[in-house]
Amino acid sequence: MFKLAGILLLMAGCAGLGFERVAEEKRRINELREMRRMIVRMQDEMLYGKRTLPEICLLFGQCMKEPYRSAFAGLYEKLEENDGRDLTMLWEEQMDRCMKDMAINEEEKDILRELPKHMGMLHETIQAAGVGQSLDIITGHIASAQAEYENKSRVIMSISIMAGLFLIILLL
Amino acid sequence: MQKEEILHIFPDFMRLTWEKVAEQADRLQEIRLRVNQPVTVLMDHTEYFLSESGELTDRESDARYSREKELEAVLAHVCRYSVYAFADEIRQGFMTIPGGHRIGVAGQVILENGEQVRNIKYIRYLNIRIAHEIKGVSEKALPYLYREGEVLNTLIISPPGCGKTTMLRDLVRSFSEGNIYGKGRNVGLVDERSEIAGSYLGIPQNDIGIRTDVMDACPKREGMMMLIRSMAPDILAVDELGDKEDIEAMHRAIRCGCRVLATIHGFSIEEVRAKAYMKPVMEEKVFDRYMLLGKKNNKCNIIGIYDRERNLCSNLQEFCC
Repeated sequence: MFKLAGILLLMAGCAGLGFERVAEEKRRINELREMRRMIVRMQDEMLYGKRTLPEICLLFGQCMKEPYRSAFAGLYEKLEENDGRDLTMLWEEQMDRCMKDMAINEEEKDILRELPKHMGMLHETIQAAGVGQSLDIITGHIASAQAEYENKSRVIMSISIMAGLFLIILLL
Repeated sequence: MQKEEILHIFPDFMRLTWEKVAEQADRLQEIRLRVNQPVTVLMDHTEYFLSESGELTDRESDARYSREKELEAVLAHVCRYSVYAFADEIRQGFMTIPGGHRIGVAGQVILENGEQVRNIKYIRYLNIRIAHEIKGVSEKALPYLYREGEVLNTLIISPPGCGKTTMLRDLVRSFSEGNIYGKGRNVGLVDERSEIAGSYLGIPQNDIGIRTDVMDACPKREGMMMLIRSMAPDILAVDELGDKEDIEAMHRAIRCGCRVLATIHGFSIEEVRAKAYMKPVMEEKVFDRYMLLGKKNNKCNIIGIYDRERNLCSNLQEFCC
């Protein structure tokens, strides 16, 4: 009886680890998609709304999903405080906090972290294009993450179940 | 005006230098930053240099020099890191920041089709003009701008820097809230340069009265018609009539039954009359009152108020400083 319970728990644990790994990959894709959506929206606001960056932060702080919502609301507050600190510093501070628990990798986090470096253009079209430079990179990451997910998810699940079976045999 | 309002124009690393000047914010008129040139400050109509320690001095040898990086930092800061959002303003050579302060810019012009100004790059000259909201500045003029409780079509004529916008803002507030000469009226304000209401995120930073609707950052011509259609104002207020199209729009507004309160650059009524687009307006006697502003004893003041026949209708002594 105990053996059977042990076998089941071991299998469930290994399968759970596999599921977790697959879900993380899925989460990474969703986070990249959300990041792309946000940058496209930012471009639109710059291009058609001619909104300044603080105005965009205010808007995103109201209409974006978490964790972006809090990050942008926080950034807007900091910019409004106008304590003279430079945008790059404030942006990095807020985005680091926002991306702390995200599944995306460091390279992908850098895309968002370095967004203010593209600011300062004289015309809205050029500015939107500058911000949009990162879109191609994100789209590339999404495509590769999607392909990896499809290929890897079955492998990960199979390996985790096989590992479970291996452990059961080893412990019996 | 608050000291912070002046300090907020500058990024963090420059604030210490401007601390002492900002303490005298109420007297401050203009700050000029030119690349590799001394920083000059206009205070009480007197020019000073800013020293390295932040003191005002009249000795050029003690002056602090503006550096390229500083100018870029100020520009990025006042544009709220969004220079693109100010492209239209920069193209016109100035932008308005919260509080209604105006920042004039100069640099290398980028042309489109070899004629039109597309943008300005290498902005290396900044002229920060500090707006002062002076409530009650129009009080003495009010009796001449009403007839039987109705506001008269009024044109404010003034040379640059003599308080044209300040006067307009106070009249808008006064007409909107009402006073002993007439009840409060709905005022439509076309604030093309965001100088009068000083709107930030659509909210006026200056007191423009309780019955005032603002069409912010909108060209005068479009703004006047939009306000008439949408807000049915009793009085339409516009700053700086500048061409034939503005005059046509103003005519349409008057035909729609609105009273008009407008300003124009000029040193005298005759000078304004000499402008081709103004001549028909003056001959048709569209305006019931002309208010002429100027400097008396080095102070901005009302020089006189004239009727539609251009006869002096006020007692000049009343406006004397």
